Amino acid sequence: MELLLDVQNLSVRYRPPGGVDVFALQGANLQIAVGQIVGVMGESGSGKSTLAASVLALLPVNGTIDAGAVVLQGTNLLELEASELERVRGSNVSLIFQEPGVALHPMMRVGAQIEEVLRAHGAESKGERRRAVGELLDLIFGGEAGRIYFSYPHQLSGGQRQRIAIAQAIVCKPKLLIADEPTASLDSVTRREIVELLKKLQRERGLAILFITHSAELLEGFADRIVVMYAGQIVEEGDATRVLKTPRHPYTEALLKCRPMLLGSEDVRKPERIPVIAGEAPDLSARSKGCAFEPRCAERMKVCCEREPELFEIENDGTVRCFKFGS
Amino acid sequence: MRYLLRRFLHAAILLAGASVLAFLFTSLAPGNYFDEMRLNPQISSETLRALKAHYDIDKPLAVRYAVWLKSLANGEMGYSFAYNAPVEPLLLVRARNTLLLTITSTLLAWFIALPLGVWSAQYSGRWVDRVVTGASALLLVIPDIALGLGLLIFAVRTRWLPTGGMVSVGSEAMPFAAQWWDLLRHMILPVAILVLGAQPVLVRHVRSAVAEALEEGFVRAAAAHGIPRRRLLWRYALRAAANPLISLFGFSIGVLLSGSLLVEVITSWPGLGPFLLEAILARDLYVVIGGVLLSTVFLVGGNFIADVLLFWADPRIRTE
Amino acid sequence: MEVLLVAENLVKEYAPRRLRGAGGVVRALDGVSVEIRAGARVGIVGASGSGKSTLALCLACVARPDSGAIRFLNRDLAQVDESELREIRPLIQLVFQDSAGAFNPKFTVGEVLEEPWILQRKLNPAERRERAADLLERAGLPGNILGRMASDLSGGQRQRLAIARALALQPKVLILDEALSALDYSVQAQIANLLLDLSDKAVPAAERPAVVLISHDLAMATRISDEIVVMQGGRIVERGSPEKIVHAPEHRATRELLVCTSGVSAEFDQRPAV
Repeated sequence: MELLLDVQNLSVRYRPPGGVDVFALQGANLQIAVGQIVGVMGESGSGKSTLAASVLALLPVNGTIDAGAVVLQGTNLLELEASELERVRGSNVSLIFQEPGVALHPMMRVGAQIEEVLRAHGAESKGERRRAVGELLDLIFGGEAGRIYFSYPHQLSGGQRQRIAIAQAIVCKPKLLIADEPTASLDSVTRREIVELLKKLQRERGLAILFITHSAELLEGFADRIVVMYAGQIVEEGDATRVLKTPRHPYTEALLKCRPMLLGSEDVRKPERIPVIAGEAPDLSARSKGCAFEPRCAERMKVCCEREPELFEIENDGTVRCFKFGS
Repeated sequence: MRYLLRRFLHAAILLAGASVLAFLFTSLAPGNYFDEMRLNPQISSETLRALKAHYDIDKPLAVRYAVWLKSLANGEMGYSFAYNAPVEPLLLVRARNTLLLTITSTLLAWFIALPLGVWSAQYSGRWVDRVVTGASALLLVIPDIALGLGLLIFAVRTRWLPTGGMVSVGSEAMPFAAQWWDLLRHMILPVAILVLGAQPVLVRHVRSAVAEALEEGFVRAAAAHGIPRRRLLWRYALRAAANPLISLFGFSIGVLLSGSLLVEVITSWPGLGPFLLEAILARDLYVVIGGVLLSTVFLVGGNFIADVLLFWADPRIRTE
Repeated sequence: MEVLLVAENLVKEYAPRRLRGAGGVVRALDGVSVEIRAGARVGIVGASGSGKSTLALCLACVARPDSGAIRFLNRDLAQVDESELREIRPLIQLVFQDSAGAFNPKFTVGEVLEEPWILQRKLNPAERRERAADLLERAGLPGNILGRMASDLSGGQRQRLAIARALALQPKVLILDEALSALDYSVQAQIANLLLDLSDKAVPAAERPAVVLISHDLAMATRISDEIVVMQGGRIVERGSPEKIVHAPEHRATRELLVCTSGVSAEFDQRPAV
């Protein structure tokens, strides 16, 4: 498979004014092939949003990239000038955020907002832009496209707004779409609809997607590969179905057990208390000597607090950062 | 639409209320125009009584108000005791002079403050921002009168600018172009004082509104889509910052007639301010009421214009 | 078990900021009747727009229905006078999804907890502090955070604080409107367990509130409820025990929620033609 995006050893640090540095991302490695859907699973503080923002160098003012490269088909995005980056954003690689209500300008009609993206990246005339946007809205909204074109964001529902954000992201036909928790603020039915839309776009346009979420069930039947993040590091990576069915890293296993699952024939309410992960989320300002998950791990060994585990390879399927699989 | 009608009704009620209050307060102040004359032994008390009767001063308040309202309906605003002439022509000439100054300076002030504020917000924290904010703070701290007098001294010493008045003596005799140039030269000093006085508040508001807009999620999202910086600033951030700035603009319109009294006095500009001041001291009742009402029209009108502009600019208000 | 809170035939309409061309009123609640008994755990589920949040607001006496009655301990809340309403309100507590906005950012954790008692003019300062520490324990928060700013807490801790504050006045009904939805799964699990603990049969009746969870997540709702109520378009379309809802759903809306929700295996994935 042809490699599209290659994130190499990316480390990001936040320096809040008057506070301690936070090591949000530590040596992350990630590859996305053309047309591939990669899911990034993790909780708050895992570094997943930092990863998303870093690919397009969209970190907030107090964030610095300490090391690493983001190579998009041969070009290191982190070495580009601001104007060159502006050209890449939205046209080669797009990013959509969690809160669609906040991501759209409240005073501009949504059709015009999509046109703005076209205008930033192409030399088409106004008429051509309008047509292109109209076609895209037809594809995404079907019959209601006409009315939606002239609406303002506050007249649309959360799901509709997120679809507009997706339209903005794909109107210039990018090769990669990074979606940072795009469905977190939507209800379960709308979430599925958005995922179905993304699946359709991948099928019809060969769009590669980096889907970041804390809801594992969305990745089922959707992602090709899954990357699990914890405390700024990638702790497991592999084929999506395999990771969800037989997770290897203790964190992944514990996380998947926390879901209030509905299974086919089991008693839906056993065990009575939902399994939790013991302990608290890790403090990212302190770099521990051993494994970051060790304090909360049910299977910890002596070596786990002495050294930090690397990513160990599993036979032709992914990697795990755990001493159970290597040393 | 209903929103606009509501605002218009609101404005109309305010205006009516203001006229009542103006009438009430000026009439409640002890004394009247003719009290000055009482001190003059050459004027007999019968003459005084006759004058008072002639001008209806001895009638009860409500009657006087009703009479005044009736003449207002006819487009007349009463009679000036001091000038022995109807009020509106006097007021309107003075108002025109004031507006000449204030409209020019308001437009100029906004024209300067907008880019300065946007620039300052864009480079927030860096030296551009520090210089602009520092200069604004300095100007804010200097009282208007010190600023005015300072510039006046400057004009006097350098003799580059006329030091007062609206036109030079004998300007009517000059050719048309020269008359305009003369007027312009006389305007420079008062306009400069007004613009400098207005800058700090405007720049600060523009800066803070734009800086806040730049932090908003949609600006970040638009940047993620590759929208270039300049467009982000002017089309996205400034537009979102419009709401507070429109309200401020409405206020600027509101004080077009009433905000320049000090400057007019310092530069001897024949505007509404000094005229009204004189009338108040002389108890020239109808001039005062007329002047107050005119100012109120602008104030209320300015607010209403702001409401209309907000309605046009913000679709969220429109679809309420 | 005694009936605490009853909603009878609630109707509530409003005119939304619709798309151009689509006008008219929306019936957020279209004849909804529901019963909450003491010690019950009820889950009200539905997609967005189904009316579940409006129902929560009406039950908590925050919003007034346009028609229909709400009875608390058999007293019609529309007829009751203001002083009696003031007595009743603290007994029905509401916890929202985004508790970040629920606290005064300048308050410490202790101040947040003591506020209800201060407002109700109960207890002296020493008693308040003691009760506050007690509430923290019940909510699973460490005792040493009393002095921290409420805005400094993590998402999960904030939700626990919101629940602790809701418990301060010993409510009979605790309504949670999507209170778990924005949290990470491990944190959701902890809060869910907290709710189960709070409403466990072992807790003395005086301290055990009835728990009403409003959610779009059918999986979470079935885990912690004894009864599920499914809403769509302002109406209740199905009711039943969690087992029945999961194994034998009747209404289309229920089936759709099942398919779209957590951890459903492939055999459920025949999306009904919507």
